[in-house]
Amino acid sequence: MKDIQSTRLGDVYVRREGDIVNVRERVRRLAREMGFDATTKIKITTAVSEVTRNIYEYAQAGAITLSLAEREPDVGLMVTARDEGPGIDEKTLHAILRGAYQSASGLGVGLSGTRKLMDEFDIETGEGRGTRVTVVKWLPRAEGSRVKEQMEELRGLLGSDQKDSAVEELKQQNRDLVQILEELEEKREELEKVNRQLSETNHELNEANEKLRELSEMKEEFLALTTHDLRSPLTVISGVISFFTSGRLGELTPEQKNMVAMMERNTQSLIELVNDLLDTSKLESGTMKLDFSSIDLRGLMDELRETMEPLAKEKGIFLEESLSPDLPPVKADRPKLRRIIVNLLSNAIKFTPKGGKVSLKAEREDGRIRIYVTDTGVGIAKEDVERLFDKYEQARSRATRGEKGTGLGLYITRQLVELHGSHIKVDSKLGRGSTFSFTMPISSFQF
Amino acid sequence: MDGARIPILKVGRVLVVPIQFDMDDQTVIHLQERILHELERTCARGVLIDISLLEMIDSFIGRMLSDIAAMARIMDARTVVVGMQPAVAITLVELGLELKGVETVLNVDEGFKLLRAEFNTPDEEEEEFYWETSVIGK
Repeated sequence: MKDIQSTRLGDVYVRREGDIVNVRERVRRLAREMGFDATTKIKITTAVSEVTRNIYEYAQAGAITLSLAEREPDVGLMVTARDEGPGIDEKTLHAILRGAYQSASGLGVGLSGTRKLMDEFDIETGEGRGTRVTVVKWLPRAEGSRVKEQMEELRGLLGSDQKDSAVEELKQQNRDLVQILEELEEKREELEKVNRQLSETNHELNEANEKLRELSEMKEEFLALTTHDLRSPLTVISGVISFFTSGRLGELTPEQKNMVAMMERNTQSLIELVNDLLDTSKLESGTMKLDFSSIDLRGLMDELRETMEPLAKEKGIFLEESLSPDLPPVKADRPKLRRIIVNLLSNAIKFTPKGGKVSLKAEREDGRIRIYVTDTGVGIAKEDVERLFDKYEQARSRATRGEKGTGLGLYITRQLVELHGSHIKVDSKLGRGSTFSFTMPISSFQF
Repeated sequence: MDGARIPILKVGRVLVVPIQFDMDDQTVIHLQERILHELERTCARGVLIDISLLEMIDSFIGRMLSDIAAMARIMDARTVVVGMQPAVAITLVELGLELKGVETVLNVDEGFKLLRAEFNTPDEEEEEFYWETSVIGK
C-alpha cells in the first residue's frame, strides 16, 4: 500500500446501523461516476458494506474515507475503514483471512471476501489498537486519466457528507473537549490533594522549626547565663591569686610560687574561655555593639607587644612589625580590633614552631588599611581554609589537637572583622606558613 | 427505513416479497419476522423473494436470506429467490458466500413454476392463484 498515492475525496462517519446503507449508497454513486462497470461497482459496494458492518458491529463507531488512489499508470478508488474498537488479535486475524473464522453475525467471509473482491487489501490491527482496513480497486486504464480531472465533481458527489463530517467533527471535538475537561478536573483534584498534603507537611515543618528555634534560644540563654555566672567567681579567684603574687601575704617559697603561677595560668585561660563563650553568645544573639573611635595602629601595637612578646619569647619565636610611619589612624572599635589582632597573633604563635617568625604589617589599600599577620608555621591545607572559621573547629580538627583553646578564636575573629564591614583573607601553603589579613576603614579625623 | 416498506404479497399460497431498495440491517431483520408471521397467518406454502432490483448482497443479507429459507422450511414452506443480477451472483461467489438452503431461479415465472410443482396445485385452483392477489402489510 505504501507505493500508492491517495487523494482524499471525503469521509462518511459510521455510528448508526443506518450508516451502513448510507456508505453503500455513496460508494455505489462514486463508483459509477468514476466509471467502474456494473459488476465491479457491485463488488466494491459489497466489499465496503462488509468493512463498514465490521466497524459498526465491533467498534460501534468509526469512519470510512474515500480517496482517489494512484499508482502509475493506474488510478482507482481507495476505501479506508478505521475504528478505535477492540482490534483483532493475530491468531484470529489469521483465521479470518484464511476464511476459517465463524463470526456471530455474518458468515465469516467478511474480511476474506473483501480481500478477494478488491485488488489491494491491507489491514492494520492488534488487540486494543483498533482496526484500519484499506482496500483499492483499480479502474480500467482508459478511465484513469478522465477521473483525475473530475476530482472536484467527485468531491461534490460526497458534498453532503462534508457537512455531515463537519458536524461529526464538531461532535468529536466536543467529546474530546469534555474528556479533556474531565481529565483536567481529575488533575485539579489530584493537585488539591497534593497541596493539602504539602500544607500539612509545611505545618509540621513549621512546628518543628519553631521547636528548634526555641531550643536554640534556650541554648543561647543558657550559654549567656552560665558564662556570666562563671565569670564572677573567676574574677574573685583571679583577684585572690594576685594577692599571692604581689607578695602582700608574705614571701612564698619557690614551690608555692610555682603552684600559684600554675593557678594563675589556668585561671587566665579559663577566663579567656569564658570570654570567648560570652562573645560568641553575644555575636549570635546579635547584641554585640561596636563603639567606633579613631585608633593609631602603632600605639595599639606598642600596647600589644607587652602581652605578646613574652608569649613569643617563651616559644622562641621572633615577633616583627612593619608599620610605615605615615600610616593614618583607622576607624574601629578599639577593644574589638585589639581582640582581632591578639587572636590572629596568638594563633600564629601557637602554630609556628620554635625559631619561626611572626610578623604584623599594615599598609594602605584602596582607601582602607590592610593589616597582615604572617607566620612561618605549619600552614593550612586548601580544603581546610573554609572550615577554619567554623565554630569549635579547632576542637574537631586533628591538625591542631594538642594545642589548647576552644576553637572559638577564629570564629569570633571573623565575626568581629565582619562586624567592621570587612572579610578575613587567608593565604597559606602547607609547611610554608600562612598570612591572615583584613582591612579597616581609615578614620576621617586626624590627630 | 421502515421494514414495512417492503410489501409482502399473497398470491395464492405463495408469499411474494419484492425487494426494491437497498435494505439496512434492521429492515432485513424486520422483514424476516414479517415473512414468518405471514406464513403462520396465511398458511402459505411458498415464499418467493424477488431480488432483481437488489444491487448488492453482502454477508449479512446473504445470511438473512439463508435464515429465512431455513425458518420457512420449518414452517413447511419452500423459499425461492428469483432474479439475481449476474453481477451480484459473481460478487457472491467471489465473496465466498453460499446461500445455504436457498433455491434460486432466474425469474418470477420460473419461481412460480417451481413452487407450483412443489405443492402440486390442482388446475382449478389456478384461477384463484392468479386473481386473489392482495397486499399484506402492517
